Amino acid sequence: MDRPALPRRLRAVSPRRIALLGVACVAASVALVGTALAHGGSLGGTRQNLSVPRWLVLMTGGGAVGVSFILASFVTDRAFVASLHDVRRSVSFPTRPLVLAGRTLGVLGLVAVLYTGFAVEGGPLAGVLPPALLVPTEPLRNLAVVLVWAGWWAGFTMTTYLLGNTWPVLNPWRTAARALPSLDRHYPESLGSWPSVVFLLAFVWVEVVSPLADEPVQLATVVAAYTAVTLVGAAVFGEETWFGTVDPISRVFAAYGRVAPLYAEDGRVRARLPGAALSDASWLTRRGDVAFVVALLWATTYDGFVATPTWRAVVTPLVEAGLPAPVLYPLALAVGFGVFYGAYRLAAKYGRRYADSLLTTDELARRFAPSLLAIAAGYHVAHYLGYFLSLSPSLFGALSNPLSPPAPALALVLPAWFGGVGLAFVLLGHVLAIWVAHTTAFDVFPSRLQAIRSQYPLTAVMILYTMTSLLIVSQPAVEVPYL
Amino acid sequence: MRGEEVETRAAPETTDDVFACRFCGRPFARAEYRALHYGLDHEASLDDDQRAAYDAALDEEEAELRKFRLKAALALVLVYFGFLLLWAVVNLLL
Repeated sequence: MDRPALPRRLRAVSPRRIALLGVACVAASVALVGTALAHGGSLGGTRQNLSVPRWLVLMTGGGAVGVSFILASFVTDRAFVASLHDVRRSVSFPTRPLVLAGRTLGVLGLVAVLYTGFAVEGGPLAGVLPPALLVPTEPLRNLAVVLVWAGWWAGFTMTTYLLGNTWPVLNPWRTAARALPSLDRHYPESLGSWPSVVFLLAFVWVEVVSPLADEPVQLATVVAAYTAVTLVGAAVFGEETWFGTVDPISRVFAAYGRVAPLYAEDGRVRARLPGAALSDASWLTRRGDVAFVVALLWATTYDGFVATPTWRAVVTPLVEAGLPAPVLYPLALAVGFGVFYGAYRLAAKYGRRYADSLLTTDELARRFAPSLLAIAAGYHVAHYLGYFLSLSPSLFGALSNPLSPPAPALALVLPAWFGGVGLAFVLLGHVLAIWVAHTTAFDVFPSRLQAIRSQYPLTAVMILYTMTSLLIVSQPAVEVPYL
Repeated sequence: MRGEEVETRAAPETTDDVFACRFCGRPFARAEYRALHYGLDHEASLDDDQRAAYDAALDEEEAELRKFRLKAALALVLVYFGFLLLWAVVNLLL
């Protein structure tokens, strides 16, 4: 893209001043974050009591996000703001063999999950296969369970935003769909992305309420059902439409991949600064795309929220009053999504008003939606890094010997300070989101004051999201109640 | 052209008193916004008047930004010391 050189006047702020501001920004954030970390809570497994009131930790986290907004608003040099997002490097290495290897790996993984899920003692294949070919049922020694939850849902997802989205290559269903004929039926455009929003929320609901993490046969059944639905869908609507518009898993990874430093373009791997692509919203074109981004953020939050003492305290009186628990879970999922989405829409509406802009609320909501992905990614690390690390011995054990994995004698116990890592990532995600939204606002509005003013409501909503995330991450994870 | 195109449709309730861009049709609520837009997005096709209007709008924007920075610095100090005091008080009471 050719950009005319900006007039000199716009470069009034010297690079040195900006560098100084940058240093001040980091120092101030670290100072505020540091105080929260010193008294951090716990993350999945490790337990530690807060030595300061939780409300103070939440407020400080929210304060750190607010301060990063104020600091970002000092950076008003358009050329500088845009230049950070235009840093691109080409990393050339042959991708073709990698693509083939990735597809093979993906298909092997799916076959392994289906096999080790069904071929357990007491499973549907127990009578057919000789006993030597059966695998253990205990979740921590079953390849299907640890590969899906620790390896894929926690570990692989982290690579999609920390490195790059490799799912289009690895995705075994895509590889299979490519080999199958397609009817290429017309996809009803009026549905937009809403089916994938519903599927994503349904997927998280199933993940939370069902014993999929404990029972290999059920897990393999769900994977088989997903396989059937996906292959039929891809055959009816065509591979690109299905995986690009409907399939929630491909869309989650594609969205996370926007945060990542590596991406593919014209058959080459290229590098950019992490989060640099989030100021570009051109990929959000369908109705419901913004809702999908918000659903992704809420889904990860919900997953953690139902395992907190706060949720237990909310749900106990309701269940005792006679509300059935199986209704409460999807209800909370839907209500929470409504609150997150409503808050974001409201922020876009008021942002439009504060900026005195004549763009539509829809347009503003669309442009700023990608910045939420940085928040989702930061929260995902906070939620799953500890989970992944503590389960990794089981994962490697099961991978080294799928048929009879060693008992996970070596359990990885995370140190107490590890809880702070979660808090740090939550804040890091939010600070990145603030910066991305700042850049986007500079791109959208001609006046820099308009750009800054448009961010007041969005920053308020981000502070709300931060405090919600911190509320979850700073509490010990407990058994999900009434299931 | 900067970054991405925006959808230029104006919200229905604000169609009067609109300053529309002569080149791309995007509506603005104030003449200064349009002047800035001309300079940023259509720099190559400006006439002398528009260029002068752009320069004037930039000057005004810079002056407003200076005022804003003062307020932002004040807010920063208030937030920072507010938290410092809050932590001190909480630690004292605990």
